[in-house]
Amino acid sequence: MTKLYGAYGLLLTVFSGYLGYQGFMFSRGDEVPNVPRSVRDNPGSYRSIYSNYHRYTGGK
Amino acid sequence: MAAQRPQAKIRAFNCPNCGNSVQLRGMGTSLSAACPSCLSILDTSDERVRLLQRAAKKMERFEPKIPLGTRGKVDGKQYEVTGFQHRTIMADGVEYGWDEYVLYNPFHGFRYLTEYTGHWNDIVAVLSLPAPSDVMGHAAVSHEDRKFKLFQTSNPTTKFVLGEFPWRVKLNDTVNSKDYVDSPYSLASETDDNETTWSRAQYIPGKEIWSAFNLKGSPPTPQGVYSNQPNPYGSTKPMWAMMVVFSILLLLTMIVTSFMAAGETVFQSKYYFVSGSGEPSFVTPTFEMKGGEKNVEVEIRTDLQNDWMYLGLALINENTGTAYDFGKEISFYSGSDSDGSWTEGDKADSVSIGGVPGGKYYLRVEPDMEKTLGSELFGSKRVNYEIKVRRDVAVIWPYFVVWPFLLIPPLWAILRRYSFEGKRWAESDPSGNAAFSSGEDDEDDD
Repeated sequence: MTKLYGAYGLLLTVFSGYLGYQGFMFSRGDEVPNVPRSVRDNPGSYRSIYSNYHRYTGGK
Repeated sequence: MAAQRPQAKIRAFNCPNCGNSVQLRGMGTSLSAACPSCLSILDTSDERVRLLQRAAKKMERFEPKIPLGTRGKVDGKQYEVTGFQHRTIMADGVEYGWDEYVLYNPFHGFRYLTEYTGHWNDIVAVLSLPAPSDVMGHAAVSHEDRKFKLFQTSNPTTKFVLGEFPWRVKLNDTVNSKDYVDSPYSLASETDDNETTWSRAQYIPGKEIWSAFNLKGSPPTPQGVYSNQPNPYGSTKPMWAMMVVFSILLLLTMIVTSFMAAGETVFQSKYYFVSGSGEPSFVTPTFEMKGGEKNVEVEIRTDLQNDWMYLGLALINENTGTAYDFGKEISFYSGSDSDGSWTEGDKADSVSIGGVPGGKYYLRVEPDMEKTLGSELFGSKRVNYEIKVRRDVAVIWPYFVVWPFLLIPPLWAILRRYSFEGKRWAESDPSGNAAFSSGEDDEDDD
């Protein structure tokens, strides 16, 4: 049981170290391929899926 | 010339009660014996065998699982089973019975085996007197560097005897017994009108008994948890020690990987946004992000006051045309009321995404704020903000996520261990109250 736990603990430590080293994050940007180069000169021509964000956040 | 081992001499005589032949294997050490035919108990302390106790005509017979005369090795020494008795106690109105075997070796004397529902114990007499002690406030005795906690007080009664005994055994004789436990050992004191004797027991698996005495078949399967049965789950200390080691390793790994993360600021600039002032989106100059797939953090600092803004962000690879869309809302409100001053939200915040390949990127930014009539007409709503893009920032969340998983096995192990101990001590009756209880709820009728 102790040996099994040793292997388990080592695996978890190595795994978390790998994730830490990679700077892994679950949140990923929504990947949109082939955005036209014209966006550089005309930013309004590209509309992100996060555009038109409307939300009221009132105070207390 | 080699010394000859003494051969066990079998002495035989006729039972003074029924006339049946009775054999003695104890080489003159037995003080009493039971006639195998009429079960009467005979005084065998000298040549003149006398009747000590005539057995009841209708007496329940118990068959020893190890037949009398069987020889086997216990503790590396050869013993012969010379006696057998069945004893009982009452607890909560229920009678519990167990078997005891007398083992004899002419060089090493007597030792005993007990069996209760498949649980076996090897018992020897204790020569030094145990000293009174306590274990965390519970009554106990100490003996040979071990502390034995009081487990049970009972009044065992002899119900059936067979073979011979080194004491004057009598049917229905009752003694006061106290059992003290320190698994896999236990100490027992038995007190009658004349004396108190102490014995030490060691739990022994049934299969070892079967092997030692070369018995046929298999031993009875143990039922429940016995008082001095070793905890099969062992100590959890090694696991906890490993848990500490792994925690330190995690901490060290976290520190090392945090230092290894570049956390390089690849872009930083200040902007302002006036709500309702036309097309809000713009792009930043190109910046380079080195390395393979790494994370990116966009930090936003504003001077918002009782307002919110939203930044639609797209990190666009100049060469491949691949965009990574994300966004961040920032809000900050403050004021005071009857409860005092308050704030809500923050003027600065950040958003991170992972898995962004290296390359040349620019950021498309699309700010947004709540549109009011004033801002629509006069464009009076303005917020100043700063954007900072950092590449390969340190992440520490994996270590905090993993750590609880390290806790699970030792917690589970300790739970199993204490569950077993709970079952053991659930059967405990240190005061001996159960012996006097009928097992029914005692309610006084007024």
